[in-house]
Parts: sequence; C-alpha cells; structure tokens
Amino acid sequence: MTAYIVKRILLVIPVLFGVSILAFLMSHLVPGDPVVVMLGDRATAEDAARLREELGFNDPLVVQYGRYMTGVVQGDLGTSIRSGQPVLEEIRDRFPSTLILTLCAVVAASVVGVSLGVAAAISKRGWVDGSIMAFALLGISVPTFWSGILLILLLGVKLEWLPIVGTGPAALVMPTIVLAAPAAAVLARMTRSTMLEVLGVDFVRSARAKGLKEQVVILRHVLRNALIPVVTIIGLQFGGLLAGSVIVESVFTRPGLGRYTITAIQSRDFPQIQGIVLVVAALYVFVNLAIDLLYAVIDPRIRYN
Amino acid sequence: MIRAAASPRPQLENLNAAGHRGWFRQATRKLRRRPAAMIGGTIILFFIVVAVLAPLIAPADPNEISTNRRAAPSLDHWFGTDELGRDVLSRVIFGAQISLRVGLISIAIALVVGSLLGVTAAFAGGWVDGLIMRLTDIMLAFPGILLAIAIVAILGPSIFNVMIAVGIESIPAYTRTARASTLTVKGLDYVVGAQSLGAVRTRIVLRHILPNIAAPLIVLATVGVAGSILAAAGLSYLGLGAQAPTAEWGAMLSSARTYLRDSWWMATFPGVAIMLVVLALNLFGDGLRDILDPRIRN
Amino acid sequence: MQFTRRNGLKAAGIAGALAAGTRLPYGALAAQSPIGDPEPEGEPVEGGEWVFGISELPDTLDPHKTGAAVSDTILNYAGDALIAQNFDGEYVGGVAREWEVSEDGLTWTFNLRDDITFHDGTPLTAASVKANFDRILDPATNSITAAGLLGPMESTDAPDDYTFSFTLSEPFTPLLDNLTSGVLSIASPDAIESMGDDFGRTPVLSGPWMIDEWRTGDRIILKRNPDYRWAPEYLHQDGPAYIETLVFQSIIEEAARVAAFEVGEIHQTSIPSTDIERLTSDDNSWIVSYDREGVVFLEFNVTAAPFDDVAVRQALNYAVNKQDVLDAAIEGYGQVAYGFLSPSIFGYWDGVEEYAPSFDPDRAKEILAEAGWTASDDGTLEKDGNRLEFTALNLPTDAWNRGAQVVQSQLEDIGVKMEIQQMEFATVLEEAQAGNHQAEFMGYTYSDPDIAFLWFHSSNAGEGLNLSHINDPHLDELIIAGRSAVDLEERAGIYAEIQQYIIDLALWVPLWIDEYYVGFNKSLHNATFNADNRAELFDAWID
Repeated sequence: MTAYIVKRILLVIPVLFGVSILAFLMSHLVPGDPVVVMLGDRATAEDAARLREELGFNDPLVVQYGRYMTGVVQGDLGTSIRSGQPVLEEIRDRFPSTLILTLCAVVAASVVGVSLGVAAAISKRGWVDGSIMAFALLGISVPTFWSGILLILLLGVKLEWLPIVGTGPAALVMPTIVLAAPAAAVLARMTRSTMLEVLGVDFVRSARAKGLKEQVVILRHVLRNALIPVVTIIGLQFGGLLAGSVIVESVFTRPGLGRYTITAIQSRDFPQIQGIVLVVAALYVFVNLAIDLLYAVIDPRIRYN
Repeated sequence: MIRAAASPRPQLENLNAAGHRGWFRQATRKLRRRPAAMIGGTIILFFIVVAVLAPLIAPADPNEISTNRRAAPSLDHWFGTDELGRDVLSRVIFGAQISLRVGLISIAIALVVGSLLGVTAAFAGGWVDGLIMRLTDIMLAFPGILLAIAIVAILGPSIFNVMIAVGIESIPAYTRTARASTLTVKGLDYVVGAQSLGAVRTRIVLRHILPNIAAPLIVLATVGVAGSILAAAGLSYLGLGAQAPTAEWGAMLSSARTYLRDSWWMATFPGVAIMLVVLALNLFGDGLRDILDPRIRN
Repeated sequence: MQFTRRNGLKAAGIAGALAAGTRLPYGALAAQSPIGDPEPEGEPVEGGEWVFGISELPDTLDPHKTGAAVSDTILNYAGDALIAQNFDGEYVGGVAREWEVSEDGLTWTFNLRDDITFHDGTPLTAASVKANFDRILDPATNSITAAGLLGPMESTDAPDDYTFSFTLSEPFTPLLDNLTSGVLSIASPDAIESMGDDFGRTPVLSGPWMIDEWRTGDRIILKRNPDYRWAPEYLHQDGPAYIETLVFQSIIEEAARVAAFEVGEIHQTSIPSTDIERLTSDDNSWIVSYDREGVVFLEFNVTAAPFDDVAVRQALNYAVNKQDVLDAAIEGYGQVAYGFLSPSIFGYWDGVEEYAPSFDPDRAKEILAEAGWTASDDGTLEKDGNRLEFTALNLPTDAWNRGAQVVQSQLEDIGVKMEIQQMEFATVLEEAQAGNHQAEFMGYTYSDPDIAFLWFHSSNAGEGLNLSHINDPHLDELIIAGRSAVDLEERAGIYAEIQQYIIDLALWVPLWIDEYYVGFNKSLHNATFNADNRAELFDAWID
C-alpha cells in the first residue's frame, strides 16, 4: 500500500513536467504579441522593440523555458506582463472563488445526482425512473451560457429572487445550478447504471435470498459497490467543472480563475497562461490521486502492487 | 466542458461467446425492443435527413440578409427572422449540417487516434505503454477548454479548427478505454490461442481485438458526439467558433442572447435543436450501452 | 425622459468652435448637459453608494503604467490633474492655478495651488509634480498611455515649491487637453516609493474620492475624501463631495449587465444599442447619449492584392450602403461616417460629406469594369484569372459582426466575395502589422486629429498602427505639418487637406460613428455630463 502511494505520487512529477512544457510551448505558439496588446493603439515601433527586449522575448525559447522553470521550482510563477503583479499572487486571489463554486457544484451535483440515480435504479423502468432520466438528459443537453442567461432573466430580473452580481452566498446560487446541472445529470445516469449492474450480481441475489430487508440490501451491498465508479466520475467531473467555470464565470462575472484564463489568453500574457495551466493541472492530478487512494477505503478488493 | 462519462472498467468477457459477427445483428434486434433508444435513433435519423436535404427543404437562403429584421414567427417565416433579417428556420436546417459535421468529425478524430494509441499501448507494453499512458495523463490533466481555446487561437477560429480542437481534447478518453478493453481481450483464451498458432499481430488486432473492443468505444463515441456539439457551441459563445455568416447552432444561440428579452424565437429554435440532438444521442447511447455491455442484464 | 447631447453638439457646430478658437485653445467642442432634471430640487444629501457597471476591471490603476481606458475614468474621480475643463469645455485651473506657454510653444510654466494634500497626508508641491512627470518619461516605467499623452516632452523643472515647468522639443498642440486626463493626475511620490506593486492596486492621489479597495476580478471601491477643499472653480467650494462611496463593478456578460442595471443593482452603465429602445421607456432611469470620438471602418492593405489597385478600393467605397450597415450593426443609433475623422474631433472638415463617394453600386461596377474586371460564371468578378475575393479580419464584437455581414452581402451584389475571419484583437493586430492580411474591420477612439499620424504615417507601418501599410511622402509631410501647427485655423486647414487626400487614396471604407448611450439610475441628482463624456459627480447626490 505505501509503495503504491509513493509510486503514484512519483508519477505525478513527470505528468506535471509534461504539462509545463506543453503550456509553455502553447502560450508561445499562440499568434499575437503581448507587447502589442499591452501598448495598444498608441504603440510606436520603438516602444514595442524596447519592451520586447526588456521582457526577454528575444532569447531562444529553451532559455526562456529554463528561466521560467527555475522560478517555478522555487515557487515563483513569474510576473504578469499586463498587470505587473506576481502570477502566483493573482492566482491565489482568484482561486478561492473558483474553488468555492466548484466545490458547491460538486457537492450539489453529487447529492442530487446520486440520489436521483438511486431513486431511478430502484424504480427501474417505472415512471419515476423515466422522469428522472428525462430530467437528467435535459441537464446535459443545454449549453451552459444559454441556461445561465435564461436563469438571470428568470430569477434575477423577472422574479428578483437572487442578485445578478456580487460575491455573497446568494449570488452563488445561480452559477452553482448552471454548473452542477450537467454534472448531476452525468452522475445520475452513472449511479443508475452501476446500481442496476450490482443489483444483478450474485451476492446481492444471495443477500436477498437470505431474507434481508430490501433497504438493507440496497444500502449495505448495492450502493457501496455502485459508488466506486461513481467516485471516479466525481473526480473526472471535478476537472470538467474547473473547465466549465470558464464559461459560467463569464456569464455570472465571478472573480475566479475561469475569467482570468480568458483575459490571459486574450492579452497573450504568457506567465499568466502558464501559471493557470500548471495550477489547474496540479489540482486535477492531486484530486484524482486522492480519489484513487480513496478506493482503498471503499473497495477492499482493490489490491495495490 | 463536461467530459462524456464512460464506464471506467469495461468488461467484455461474454461478448466472445456470441462470436464477433453475431453481436451486431443481435444488437440491432435488441435495440428495437427499447423505445427510448428507438426514439433517440429516430430523432438522429431525422436530423441527418434534414442535414442532407437542407438545400431542398429550406424555405430560403440561410444567408440572405433583408431589412425585415427580428420578425416574429409567421406563415412566411415559421421560426421568425434574426437580427439581420435572415430566415431562422432555414438557418436551423442548414445548421444541422454544420453541427452534425462538427460532432462526427471531431469524434472520428478522437476515436481513430485514441483507439490506435490505446491498442498500441496495450499490445506493446513496456516503455511504449508507459509513454503513451503518461502522455494521456498529461492531456487529461491539461485543462480541456484551455487546450481547445489555445488550439483555436493558434490555428485561427473556423469551424474546421474547432473540430480539430474538440477532437484532440477528447483523445485521452478513447485511449484509456481502448487500452483497458484490449488488455482484457488480449488475455482471453482464443486470442492467446491465435497467438500461439503463430498468427500475425496485425491480423490478431484486426480480426480478434478490434471487433471485440468496438462496443465500449461506440458507446463512448455516441455520447461523445453530443459532448462535442455542446463544446463547439461553447467555443462559439467565446467567439472562437464558426465564422459569420455560417449558420452554426451555437453561434446562432450566442448572437441571439442579446435579444432574449424582445425576440425569443431567435435563441429558442437553435437552442431546442441543440437540445434535441444531444438528447437523442444520449438516449441512443444509453440503449447501445445496455445492449452491448453484458453486465447489465435482467 | 431622455436628453441627447447630440442635439446640443450639432447646434454648437464646428464653425462656432473655430471662431471661439482663441478663447478655447483647443478641441473644446462639447458643451455640458445636466443628467436628469436640469434644476434639481432640494438640498444635497450626504452619503450613499453609486455603483458603475463596467465590463472589465483595468490592468492596473497605477496612472503612469495603465493602458486601460477605464483607468482614466476611475482616476478622474480619485485624482486631480494640472488642468481641468469646465462644463463649457474651457480649460481652467486644477492643481495649477494658472499657466503660461512661451511664444514658441516649447516652454510651459505652471503656478500651483498650495493647499493640496495627498490622501496619505503629504503635501502636493512642485517637486511632487516633477517626480510624477519624470517617472512617466523614464523608459523603465513602461508607461503605456501617459507617456504618449506627454508627446515630445524633453525636461521638467521645479524652480520653487509651487512653480513647475517643462520643455518640449517641438510644439505639441494636443498637450493642453491631454493634461486634463485622469492618468495624468498627480500621485503621491512617497506612496509610489513605499507601496511597491501595491501602488497599482490602491494608488494614493489627491482627488475628491480615495481608492479604498480593489477586490480582484470583482469591484474597485472609492471612499469620499473628507478633507477635499480644492475643487476646480466650477464646482462647489465649501466642502467635500456628497456621495460617500463610488463602486466600479465588473460585469462581463452584456445581457447580465443590462439586467443588473434594470433591477437597480448597478446605477450607471453603458447601454448596448439592442436595449436602448426598451430602456428609454423605463421610468427608473435617465439615458444620456454622446457621439464616439472616432470611426469604425473597413481598412485595406495597400500592399496586398487586390487592394494594391486604388480602383478596387474606390469601387468598394461606392458599393457599401452605409445606412444599411449602421441600421443592422447598431440599430441606427449613430451616424454614417464619411472620412477618417468624426465630427466631434477638432479639424473635422464638413466638405467631406460631399466629397466622399456615396452609395452607388452601378458606379462601383463601372469602376471595376474600367479596371479590367469581368464577371465569371458564378458572378464573382475576375481579372487575369484572379477572382475578386478577399478575407477581412474582424474583432469578436456582436455589433461589428452584424455590420460586417451586411457589408459582405452588399459586396456580393457587385460580384466581390468577402470572407469574414473573426479573431481576437491581439491576433488581428499582429496579422495586420505584419501585412499578412488583405483587409480588416477596425475602429479608433481619439480626441485629436493627430490620429492621422498613428494610422497613416509611414513610420508607423510594421509595428505601429499603419495597418494599411500606406507609404506616401506627400501624406507624411501633411501629417507632420498638422501635428506641429500651432495656429488653429492653419491646423484645421491642413487636416481638411488630409481628409480629402485619404479619400482619394481610398484607404478605408469609413462605416459609422457610434452614438453611445449611458443609463443613470434616477436616484441621482445634480450630476452633469462633462466635456470628456464622463458624469461629473462632485456636485451630485443620491436620495
């Protein structure tokens, strides 16, 4: 077990290293010159050339990458070209907002999704099953930017129940709904199918044959086993939700990483782009590592070697 | 962008019993007994027919601009007109061509590249396997939408580049699935038998492996097409999708969002079209999964 | 209740401003307009919070470094510049009580107020002003906007505590107006020194409101400066501003921003053309409008086929029905553009409306036929086997996207095929600077006709903004003469010639001049829309 954990953690290093190279290449391949973006419509040729030299953009890419990574291992993600602030600080400022939204969405999606999935599985082929699955399908079928604006018009303008802007808990409701809906739908479908799968397995049949109450069978035997793949999906969704926040944060103007990402790409702010990719990738990798390890708790059958 | 949920542990032991030629026929027969899947299939078929016949059935040129701007639905314009006076119905009809093409081509890219990598990894083992899986890990860890935005930014925004971006973004899921299934099938008696009889590796892959790992990949791809249609719509919202005046549903929805208050028809019809297609693909995919995945049996 | 400033502006007219040229040294065409009731009733109320809805927060609030337009607005509320502009558009004292320009226009001397203290309590002296200007001029500062505003400034001097002067290397007429800019507000040199990077977040200035807090990605909050007693003469003198808090709230999605304004979560915001009709009939808001200082246009790269042929460029100028474009792009809220200047910019030549080509597709076809273009099988024109097709780059703006599509369909009518390629600003600029493009949709906002230097002077091709890559010695000469002319009538004459010449060269198809609309919540009283198209809130209160 310990060996397995150590091995998994060590594997994270090459992955993050690869991500950093990819991020670096990507941000330099994107056409558009951050200096030009910075200087905007008052740029003269001399200004641009001087600034470019100063920012070190005339060095070979390898040199620039080396310089960047030397900083990264010392916990320095560089300085934003646009704002002049350290990227790490900027990300730290914005991270809580995205994290809170993502966690709310993950929790909401898990609770709603798993309960709906269980309910659907129990009433398999019944009308409950049918309507839950129809609802779940709707959840994954609507583009988030559309449902987001519809929600603003309905809950914000028409009914005036919820604030349209702001950072308080009330302002969190609409973005959470929009972000969680597709994830809840995926989880409901996943839970339902794994539940059905487990329900058909021998040990459940024998448990039933032994005359255990249906609730006990469902809770103790079925749900526990059915949750294993569901936990994996929650982990994958976590990554998906971070990505989803790009659009949702634009629609609801939340001061998080998603919005920061768009601005970073638009202004070709290399240090910002690279910093975001590294941080999001690291988060994703560690969440999934944690989930893999969590298996050990839920499913004692998994062996680590 | 939500990645399509695929069962992480495909188990296909029983498929071989039916023989790999038999399963297709068997599957079609079973599919007919599932109303939800049939409804899904019918809707998909409907949109495919609409897409193919678009030039014949569209009442107007989808790009013909007029001064009859934002006219409500009427007998002349069943779905109304948009902000440039174009017929929304015609644009939705032609939009079916674009959106289906985006979905199919991007997933075809992911399916081909992903399966190839997955099968190679499973067969080669050793460092090749390690390398491919690490690359897959890197791709999975890389924030998908950022990758897509960057690819579109590098190649320039166009519907074609959106297909490539969404395709590349989806590769890892197929690599993993293909690898896992191949590993399972590889260990089965008849494959081991074929190997010991000295069969050529390509022949083994073509004849024994591919047909037997196809099921989970097909299921994944069906749902994946839906996901990539949504992803393309999201990129259009960010201004990185289809170029004007192309009638792509996501782009139509995005430019209609400023008129939601006054001209509901502009957003509603392309929005409903996206919903219907995505819904249908998911229904159909569910049906396929139920049939092709032998674990779920009554 | 709606008040449009356009009426007032047109009445004032160009000629009037020119005649008054000696009194109004430069560019002061705009007159003030009250927001809402011209004669507000009741006594001023102190306190309250006024929330501006803006799309994105600025890059930095360091006045010397920022490149964002919104910074200038925020800094106007938080800072004092050397010179102010009263509601009649006249230049009056700000930090400087009075000033003097030498005969040759090269040496400017300012006599400063002695009663100003920065928000950190340190006094504002000539040394502080000098420190600010020196920092802007220092290349290490990488000043984006501020340095450009100072133009050919060579050296600064502070001979005593309240006298400041600087020297230019050549006369620079736009400078007086530039000195009223928010980004040229005087900042506390002590704070610049001691705060480091934080200075860009909460800079310390001397204005009626103090920058209190910057909540990343969310809002910037300004608090009233209770000690403020040094307002310019046209504002009340007996105490600080009435409104306690100003908030700049970022809302990116336009639909959400308008929604938030309607329910009163934000109190002031720009209104997109698609919502103007609904909001003007809304009882809870005042709507004020003003004209863009600048033009939206389609620009040709004269070094790339087919636009290396002036006939093609001219033909396209006849092929576009600008009124149609205007109606579709911005619902008709604006005016058709004829030349490269908008009427609100000094030097606008009204002869341009007669001189410029007007919509005449037959004339367009004629010109192309004379140039040797003939119709191919599918209707697209061709010449020597080359089809008359091109790609126009466009920015991801809904309104521009609509306009571009109308242009596209009008060009198709005369057999010219235009593809639209939407790209982010950064990419469009890089492609166009490198000359890899054929044409692009562009726009500018600038208050001086010297914009001609940026767009058309050959020294700005390549890495500057000469995106048409025009290199014409006669044009270069005219532009240089225009930017150094001190006499206003002479200057206006030069720019009239430039406007005519640009039309001959057909570098652009000028499309439209936006009429911008700003919505104000009706709780606001006694605010005035000033010459900079900004709401002056110092005398205003909220009930």
